Amino acid sequence: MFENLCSRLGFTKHEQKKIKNSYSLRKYTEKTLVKRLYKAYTFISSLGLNKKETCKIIVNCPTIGGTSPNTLSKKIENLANLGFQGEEITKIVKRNSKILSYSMDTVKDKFEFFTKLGMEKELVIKMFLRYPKLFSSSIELYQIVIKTLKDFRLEFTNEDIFTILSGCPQIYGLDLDKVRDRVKLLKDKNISNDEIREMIVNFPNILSQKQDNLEKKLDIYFELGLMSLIIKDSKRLMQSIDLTIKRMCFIRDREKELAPQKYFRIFNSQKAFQSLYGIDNEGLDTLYGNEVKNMSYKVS
Amino acid sequence: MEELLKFLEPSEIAYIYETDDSLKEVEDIDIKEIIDTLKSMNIKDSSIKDAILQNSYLLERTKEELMLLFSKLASIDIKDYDDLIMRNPNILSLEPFEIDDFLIEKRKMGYDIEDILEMIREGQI
Repeated sequence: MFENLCSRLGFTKHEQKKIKNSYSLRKYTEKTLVKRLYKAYTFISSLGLNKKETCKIIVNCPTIGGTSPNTLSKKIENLANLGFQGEEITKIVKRNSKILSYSMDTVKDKFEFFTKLGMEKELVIKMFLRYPKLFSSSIELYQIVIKTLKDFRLEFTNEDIFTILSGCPQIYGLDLDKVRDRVKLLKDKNISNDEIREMIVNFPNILSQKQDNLEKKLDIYFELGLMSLIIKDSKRLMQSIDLTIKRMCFIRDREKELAPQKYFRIFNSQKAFQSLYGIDNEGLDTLYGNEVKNMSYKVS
Repeated sequence: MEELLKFLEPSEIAYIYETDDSLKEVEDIDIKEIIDTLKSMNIKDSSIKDAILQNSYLLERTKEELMLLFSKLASIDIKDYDDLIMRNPNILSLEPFEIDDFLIEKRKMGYDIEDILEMIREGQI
């Protein structure tokens, strides 16, 4: 009976085993489990999810399979009362199905922790939407992360901290020692505290960049004389290091007079770069792919 | 893990798991499906690697979700996905409705559509 239903709903054999063996569902008889699972499945898919997504949600949090539609509905309503709308709720449930197993008070307390700090509701919604797993972190961790940011002594204002948290909410999942290392790297590069503050606020994801990649990028931009631009517009650090190196090599070989203004074209869109130099990313790859691969490039 | 090892060094995989421990639970078959989907969109291996490193949550997405996202991007004339991913790997975490919301918000602020598309490419979304 259980296998029949699960196969019909789209669960793989492996997933069926996972559900059946889950601690929270073991207490039910097969007949009860089948009834509950079917009802929960129908409710979840009514949120606008396809078969595969619905199965994934239940497999990631089997407790949901035993929860009544009435309870699930109240939990969805709780999210709506906090300010999340239709598709936003679906996104949160898809990315962190465990939220449907938490008590409504727990979810509300976590959300309100930030509004009570003074963060605007809209920003809190944006933050949870960017990283729905944040609902699975504890309030103690929220406090530790905020304290860590303050301990950098970069004179962050409260507004800065809110911008960082909403821009890089994955910081709650990171090893904070590594986050400290990234800030230390910026300091070691002789970037002033004010500039580091500006860089982090403009591009909070800098705190989650892979350390050696970040260092490589900083070294290149320093050498090209582009650091003042990077400090003002640190989002540029998001650009792939490979693309940066290939374009840098091309400009180095093509231009007679090298200047930061010319190297700034590293950040052009492909369309703009192509119309300027007549070469696309593929052409750059043919010319400079090996330099990137072997890391044998020279800036000048 | 096997699928990731085709793209990443062990130290890079360790970094990804540092960003989110639960990514260890993502099955190889699902990772392969995501990578194949990105390849089918003409995204190069090096860009896929970079996207995974900068936005490891990508590994938790499904083929269907990514296809919906690409079709939304195509509908606003963003079709060079390789270039897009090299400049803004974080876009792969978004849902189509978030692209719509961004477009509406920026239109209301008075930006031209071309400027908004460039903002999306540059990662301002």
